[in-house]
Amino acid sequence: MLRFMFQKLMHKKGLVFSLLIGNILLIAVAASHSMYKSSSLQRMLTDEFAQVVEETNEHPLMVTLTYSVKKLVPTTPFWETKQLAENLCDIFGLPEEILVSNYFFSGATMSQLGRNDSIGEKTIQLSSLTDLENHIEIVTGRLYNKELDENGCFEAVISESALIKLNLLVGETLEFLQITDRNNNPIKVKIVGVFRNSSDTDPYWEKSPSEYNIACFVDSDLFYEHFLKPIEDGSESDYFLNATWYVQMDYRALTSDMSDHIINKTNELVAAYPVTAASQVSLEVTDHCKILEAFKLTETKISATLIILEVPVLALLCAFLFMISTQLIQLEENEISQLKSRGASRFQIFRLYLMQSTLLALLGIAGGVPLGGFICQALGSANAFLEFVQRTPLKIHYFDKEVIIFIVSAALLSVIMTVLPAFKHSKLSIIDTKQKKTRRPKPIWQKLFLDVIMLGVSLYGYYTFNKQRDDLYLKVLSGESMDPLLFLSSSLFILGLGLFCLRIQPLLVKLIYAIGKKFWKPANFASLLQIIRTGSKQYFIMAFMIFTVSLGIFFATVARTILTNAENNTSYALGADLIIKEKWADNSLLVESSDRNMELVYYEPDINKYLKLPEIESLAQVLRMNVNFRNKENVRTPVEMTAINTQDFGNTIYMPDNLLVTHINNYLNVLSQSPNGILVSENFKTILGYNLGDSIDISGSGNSMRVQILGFFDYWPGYIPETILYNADGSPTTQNNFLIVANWGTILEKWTLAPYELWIRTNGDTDFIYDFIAEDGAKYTRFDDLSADIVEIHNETLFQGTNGILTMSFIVILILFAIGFLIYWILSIKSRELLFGVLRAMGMSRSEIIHMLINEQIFTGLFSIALGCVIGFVVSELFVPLIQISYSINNQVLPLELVTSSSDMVKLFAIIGITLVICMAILTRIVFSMKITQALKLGED
Amino acid sequence: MSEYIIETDLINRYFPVAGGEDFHALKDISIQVPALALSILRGRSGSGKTTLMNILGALDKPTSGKILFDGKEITRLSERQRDKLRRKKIGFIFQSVSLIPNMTAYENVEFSLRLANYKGNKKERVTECLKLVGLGTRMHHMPHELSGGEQQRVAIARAIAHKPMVIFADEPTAELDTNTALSVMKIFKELVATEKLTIVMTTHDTMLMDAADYIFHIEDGEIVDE
Repeated sequence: MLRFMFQKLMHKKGLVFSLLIGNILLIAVAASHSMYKSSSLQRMLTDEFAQVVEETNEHPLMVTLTYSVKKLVPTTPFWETKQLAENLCDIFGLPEEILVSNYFFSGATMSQLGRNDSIGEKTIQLSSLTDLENHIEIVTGRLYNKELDENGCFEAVISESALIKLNLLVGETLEFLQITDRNNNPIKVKIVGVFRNSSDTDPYWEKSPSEYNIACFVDSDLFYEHFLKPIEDGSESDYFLNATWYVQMDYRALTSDMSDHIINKTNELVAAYPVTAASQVSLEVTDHCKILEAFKLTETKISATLIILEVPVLALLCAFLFMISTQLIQLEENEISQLKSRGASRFQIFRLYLMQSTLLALLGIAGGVPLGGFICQALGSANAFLEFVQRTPLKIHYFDKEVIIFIVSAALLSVIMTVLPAFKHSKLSIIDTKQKKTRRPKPIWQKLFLDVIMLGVSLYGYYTFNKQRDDLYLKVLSGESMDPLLFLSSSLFILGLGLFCLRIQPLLVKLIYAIGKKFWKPANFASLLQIIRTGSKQYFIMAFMIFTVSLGIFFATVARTILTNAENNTSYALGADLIIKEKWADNSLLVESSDRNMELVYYEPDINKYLKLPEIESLAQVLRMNVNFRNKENVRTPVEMTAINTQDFGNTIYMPDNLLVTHINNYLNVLSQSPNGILVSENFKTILGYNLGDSIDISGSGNSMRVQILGFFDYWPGYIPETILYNADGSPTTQNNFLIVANWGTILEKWTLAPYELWIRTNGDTDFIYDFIAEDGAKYTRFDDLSADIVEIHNETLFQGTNGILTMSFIVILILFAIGFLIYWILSIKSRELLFGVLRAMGMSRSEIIHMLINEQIFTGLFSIALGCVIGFVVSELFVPLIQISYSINNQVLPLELVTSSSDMVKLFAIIGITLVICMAILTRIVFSMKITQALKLGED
Repeated sequence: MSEYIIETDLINRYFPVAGGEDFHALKDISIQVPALALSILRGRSGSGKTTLMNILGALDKPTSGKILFDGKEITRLSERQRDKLRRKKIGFIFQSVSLIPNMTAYENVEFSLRLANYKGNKKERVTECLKLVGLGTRMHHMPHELSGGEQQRVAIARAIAHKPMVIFADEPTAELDTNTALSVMKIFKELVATEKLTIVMTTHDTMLMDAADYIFHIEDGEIVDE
């Protein structure tokens, strides 16, 4: 049986090879998805923590455990607390980065020997810090020895602050009155040195040396030997021992699946050891739970989005496997029925195919896992659709639990998809096979009207989602992910509409056939009849082609649109390539200290230094100020006003052309010709009821002036008409933003000059400004670099993952399209060799046969491709605006524009074209190398 | 028209055999096929009768030797010219089902008229031919709806429709039962008489030999008896 299987496999190299590719792709896609998800989320998580370190310079994942003697009868023994401290990392499941144990005797009064100081007795804490020697440098004196000195004294070092606070000298000996050794003699400590921390950024110093201002430190081993060991073995009670353990855990080892565990454990511990005045053991933690909670929300959103995006391509891969496997089994129909007739049971045949599928799935794993890793890296470096950049490679966990689950499920899916057709066929005996060849039942989806149902469901989905657009938008802003049903609707729509059109296709061909019935050349006649009469056999490949092409277009549009939309909105919300606002020198100190009512005066920096930079193409001064006016109901209304120099402003801004009724330069021209004129946002008309030509009195900073409305605008660079704010209960409210744009010259006549923004158009690159600032040393109160903002969008895991997965899906789709198409046609020709032999014998020339095949290609292949294109654009038009909502950024202002890149379409159609050409070349070769006499012999079986 | 429709002169046909000496399928065959008669190429399977018939019918070329078809040499014709020859002057009937599966009986016959660019009234001719083979009532059935004998009769109608000079039939009765086979032979004899054509068929069935006007007996690639 096994040999039979291998022979069988070797015999159908092309199909088996395609199955293998399908398997590898399926497993690679599934594996890469989970690999990418875990590694990118991992990267995100690590980045979040690293950002905290960068911003606060504090360790982001630390537990501080304190044991203090506050009660005579301790509730938790010291020893247990120490063990808890040492086990904390294990409890959290994280490697320990640093564990600093600080032991000290509290309130131990000491007296200084040999000094008759007026202060006499002072309180000093006899302490130890683990590993102290490696984190300090000695300022004066020396480090302690690890043994008692010849007089039985402990040697100790103190911090600089303790030196000052306690007024101690190096070389002095202290005698602790309340702490005794085993022989009840007071402990003596000799100060041998003063230390400071060896590095400012050493995380060891969670509590800085200056805070240890009443402590003297002896060697930690010595401390242990003399004070802790007796407690441990029970020979001593625990004196007045206190301890603080600083446990810093390595957040880099934190994996995304640990967040729940960490949050739970943290909460348990905090509850178990609360910080109250009465607690003997208390525990404090860093804010890591907040980071983890936020991360979990993003994680859910990203995981959901990634899986939703991937489902169509996984489904397509399954369909592909099913299709190829069906073809393979159809070729083997005779063998199967022969086996059956020779007595092989249905189970045996089924087992044969199961073995074959399992073998292929295993090979698929062998090839798919490394390919998945490669794809995962590619996803991690996705910058835009079909665009990759160099980034730090992701750390891939090949044998993560989730990755393995995905791989195994994909392999199982593949086995099922490839065995399914065999299951159907293993029922047949040789007689059934012969009978079946002559029957051509209507496909099940036509009988059940599945296409109409799918179309209906998807359109209903579209309708419902469209009605809830605004809700969707708000949900997304509060962190929800794309509704899976939305994406499903779009796929259903493609499939439904595609199948529906396949109902119509035969009618169309029949019409064409009928039109020319009288005069069709033999080739046309034969091919049209072939298509009409064998139509249903081609439905699968046609549906497959429609689905691949339209999905390809759809994916390209989704990817381009969401990214471009995010970029455009960011660009619009900023308004220019660079916006900077220097910190101006002023007399504020004087104003504050003076009694008289002194005016605040700013000293304008020289802006010519910017104009000298060759990279700056134009520069505009933009003064933003808050003013008031009384509206028609005589209510004081605060609004924002910007004063601009119209020409500079027009040259500098980013403003898409089609947003306003007419080009923004026309608005600026009108404004420039009327010094007292203003342009106002549209809501002055819609909400406040003003009309063109109305005058308003604006006031602010003690000045006022009358201005006249020259025009209304819906959009203005950097202007966001509405902001969504959240109330305390989390419900959103919309805040309307009003904007006045006025002439620079007019405003400056009335108002004193205040720090203004510089809007800059660069020649593309903004690196120069950082160099300039480093040299110039100017300080900024606002610094916005558009290119940096845009890079940030590209790096966002949600966008990156989406672009990556859509790119990968697009490529997989193209591969499947090419293979599926070629295999289908080659097999279709091979299975008709006898027929072609007959036709050739009847005198049909080779070129007529090829003509026939071209006709078939046109009516099935090209028809499907054209239909795929139309459906692809229709589904994009309908669903991309809804899907885009899931990628809304906070400053979504611009109307959505569908973006298709001609280069994507060129790539798509190039692949389709190449496939068609290759296909035709192969078919031509088959037809030309076909020997009529041999073809006819096929019929003699 | 000469007495012989096809004349061959020392035809040899070798088939390349992978890794061995070429197989000598036809050895110096020189025959003359009389026009307007039913000739049978008789021989066991593997004797070379199908190879010979393929060559006579311009489906295959001999390795050496000459063939005159209707007085013209056809061994040197180009592929296209041979396609045309088959289309216009030859009809084929094959052993097993050779109908175009997705065309009705009527369309199958009509198709050969289209191929031959038949100028007359196609509908009339198709009906005429189908009636001739006794299928006047089942013209619009698909091949799979017809029995084996009926299918073969459609094939005959198709082969004669465009009024060829010669019909080649390769084991046309091999898959039919005796009665049907005999009725096919009867049709053949009628055709020779009514349609003014020549029929060359191969068979190994000795029962059918009586129907033949001429018999060429072929064994191991050689004519042993004429």
